[in-house]
Amino acid sequence: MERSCLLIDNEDQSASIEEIEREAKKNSLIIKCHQFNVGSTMEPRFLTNNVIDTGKVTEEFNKQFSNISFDLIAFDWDLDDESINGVELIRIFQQEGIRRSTPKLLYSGVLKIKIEGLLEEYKSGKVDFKTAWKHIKTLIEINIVDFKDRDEYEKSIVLYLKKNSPILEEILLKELRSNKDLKFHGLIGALEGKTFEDVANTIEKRADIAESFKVNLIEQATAYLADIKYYK
Amino acid sequence: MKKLVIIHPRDESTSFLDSIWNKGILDYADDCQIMDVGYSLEEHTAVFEILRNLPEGSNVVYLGHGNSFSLKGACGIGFNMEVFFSKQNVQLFENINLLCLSCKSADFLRPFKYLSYVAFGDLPTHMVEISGLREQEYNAYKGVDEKVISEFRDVIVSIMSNSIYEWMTIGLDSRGLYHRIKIRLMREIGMVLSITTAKSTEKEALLELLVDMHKELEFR
Repeated sequence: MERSCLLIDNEDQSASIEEIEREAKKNSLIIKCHQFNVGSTMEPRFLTNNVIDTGKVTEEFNKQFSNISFDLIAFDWDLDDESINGVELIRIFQQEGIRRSTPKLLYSGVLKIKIEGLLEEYKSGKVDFKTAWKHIKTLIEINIVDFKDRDEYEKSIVLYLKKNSPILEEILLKELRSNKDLKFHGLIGALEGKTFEDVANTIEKRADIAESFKVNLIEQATAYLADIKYYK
Repeated sequence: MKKLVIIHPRDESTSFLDSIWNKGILDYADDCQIMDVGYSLEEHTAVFEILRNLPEGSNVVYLGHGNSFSLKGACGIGFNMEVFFSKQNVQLFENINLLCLSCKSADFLRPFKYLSYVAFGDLPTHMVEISGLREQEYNAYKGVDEKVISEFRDVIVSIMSNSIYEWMTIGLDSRGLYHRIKIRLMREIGMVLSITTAKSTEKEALLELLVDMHKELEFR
């Protein structure tokens, strides 16, 4: 089964993509990689007054990737921007329900420096505990599956995808998007009559609807697949 | 095999449930006792005596009308046992496995923590009940008519008779019975969803009845 991965970085990641795909082959995997360059001066359409405009980022993301399901999204910490970094971008994705259930990985060339710097600032009294804790808490809350140094993140992506099977929700989304024009007819009022593409988008945004959809689907599939006997 | 007692206060509106027990499906059970309760007080009180003497762990099926406060007896020819079981005598179901096919039986049985049961929510099986619900809520069970309600009755009979059969023959416990009813209901729901020939109003109406039955099915 082909797996897919998205790299969000301010720099071109073509070389890393080649490495990931090569490393995947060695591990008997096929990984299709995409990239989304945010914060790059080569992509000024995401910038407003030379800083990242998250509204433009999410709009473009939805435009470019609405029909593609990912098994993993890897975010660069440092997007070369004063206010938006990878952590903040993940937080915005979570907040807006964009790829809510897709596992996310964070990488940085300055990982240790970032963490050490934060602790140093706290120790020297430049930031109070509340501020330092806010950063750590955000890291916990964005619910990333791993946090890697830049020089090892390609291998980590391959290793993660090798070790972890696709989650049920991602399989569902992939399936729905494969027949995106078909219309939903089932037991969930909120989805009735919507195209599969809209259903996939709704499931990604709304955890409650995703839950009923999964329960319902599993119950129906089980009932359909069971050899239920009728004795008269 | 466990003893099975089927209590069926039978009148014009509940006679369709005969098919659950009189089509030979329960012939396997030497220990199956059908209490076909008619229009007399004696026939009703005989049931109490049977329940008092049942071995612990026996299986009992109740087929009849009910509401949130009671299970009703038979009604017809100048006789009306409005309250057959209520909080006064519900303890007769203690230490047995009860399958209670009647309206609002889950609401009725839930407060009695010592009871083990599989029970239901609203189960309208006649148009008079649908009309009653529509008096309270104009759009209740939209599209349900005689044809739809008749199909719903057939589905109930099929699901219940087959599930009771498995309850008895393959030694399912009450939880297993609950899941078997639930999966059969879901199969019916899937079948209705896949019908393309029926009028959509009829299909939606039958779906609503089945989905409600599935949603409100309760086990404890």
